[in-house]
Amino acid sequence: MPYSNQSLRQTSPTNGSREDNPRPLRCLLTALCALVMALPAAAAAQTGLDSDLLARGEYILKVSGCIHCHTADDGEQLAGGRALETPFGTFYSPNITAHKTAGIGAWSAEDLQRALHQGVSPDGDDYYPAFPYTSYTLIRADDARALHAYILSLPASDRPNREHELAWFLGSRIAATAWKWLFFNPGDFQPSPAKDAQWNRGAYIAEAMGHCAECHTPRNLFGALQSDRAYAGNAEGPEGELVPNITSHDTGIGDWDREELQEFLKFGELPDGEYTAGSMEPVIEGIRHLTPQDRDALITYLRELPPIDNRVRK
Amino acid sequence: MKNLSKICLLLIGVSLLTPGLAAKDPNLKLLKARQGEMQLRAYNVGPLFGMAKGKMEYDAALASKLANNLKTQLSLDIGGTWKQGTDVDAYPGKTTALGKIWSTYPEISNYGKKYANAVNELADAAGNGLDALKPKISAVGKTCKGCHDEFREQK
Repeated sequence: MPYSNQSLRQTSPTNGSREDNPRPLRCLLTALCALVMALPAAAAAQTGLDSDLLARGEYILKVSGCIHCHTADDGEQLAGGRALETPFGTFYSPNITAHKTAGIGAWSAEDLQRALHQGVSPDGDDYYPAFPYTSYTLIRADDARALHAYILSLPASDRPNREHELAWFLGSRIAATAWKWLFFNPGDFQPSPAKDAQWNRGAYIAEAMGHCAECHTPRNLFGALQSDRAYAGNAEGPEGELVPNITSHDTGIGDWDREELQEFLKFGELPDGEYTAGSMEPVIEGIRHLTPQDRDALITYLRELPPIDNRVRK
Repeated sequence: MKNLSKICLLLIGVSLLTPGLAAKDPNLKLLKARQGEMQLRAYNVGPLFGMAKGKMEYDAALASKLANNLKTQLSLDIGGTWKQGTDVDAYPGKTTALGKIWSTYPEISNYGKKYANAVNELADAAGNGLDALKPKISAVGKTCKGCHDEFREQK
């Protein structure tokens, strides 16, 4: 448990016995104890931390895939450095720990919300879409605040960020700005009035938090999602992997029942008894933390994805 | 009644003849043999993934045994079962092996080498605790997926 009010409250040192200590020292110790005990409450009041907010932030962090992308195989959690091979070059995820200079420790909650919602750094630089703000734009502001609070409660790492190794024409952030101008519109999650609450809950998990479309939807020449082929699979997914069709067509997951989807989302086990591997494996590590209600909602949403006939092949 | 007897005789004849015809295609035997070897891999790999994913409790002795089964399988010489022409185009519904296995050969052997390395490392680590097992079985799974993505017909 990286942070809890409980863990801070546990730090109340008491050395020696009352009888052993002279009165001034006893007074001093009493005052120190009182100060130490008051610190968590003061910190919580100052930063707006509360256990519900932190728990929600932890949930968002795990389910939204932040840990996998921002943690190198040999590295500290969220300290960045994971390589993402793409047709446009290699991106290295940045340090998003609470470190003030190496990470995002100096960011406000609004800075993080702006990064997720608009794909812009606090300095005004546009991010490359390797950071999936195209989906995270739908994350609600209160969820972004919870995520911010939780990340800042975690240990900081001073691991320096690594420069991306991109094709020459992408070397400048102007390329990211141009890409966003062409292909990105910030948006808010709008529940569909035609669907029930369960479906809309699943839609939020899939579209915003889980950002499933980023891998399962094919991309055009410029790396933008082909929205008319949403979730139809991608022969050139992350690391060059084949990403399956997950629409409700038989070439997707149309023949999976709810129980099979449950097993997959919890353990990564496929209906034929094999297990998912490669890039989806760490995704399962994250979404296995979904609450049963959220998992059910996600299944409802996925099972109703419009069918697209697409047998993905390299 | 007489017609019914004839129909029954005909059906019995067809049912006896069909497996006989199938058995006469030697390529089908090859297909079944290599699929059997793959199923044996799956038999060993499945519980290892199950332990790594928390679906079943980690058992050091079982993990070590299954991983070593996989290692033993590496020593089988079954190259003969991978005969050119035994692909999904020639045997739809019987196999998912793509013709590019043979048209791009020896590309597939690179996956075989990666798989063998991953299995050897798995066999060394599987009995040394769950934390030792997890990355090694994950590496094996990645080599399986790499090959399946490239050379296996998707459903």
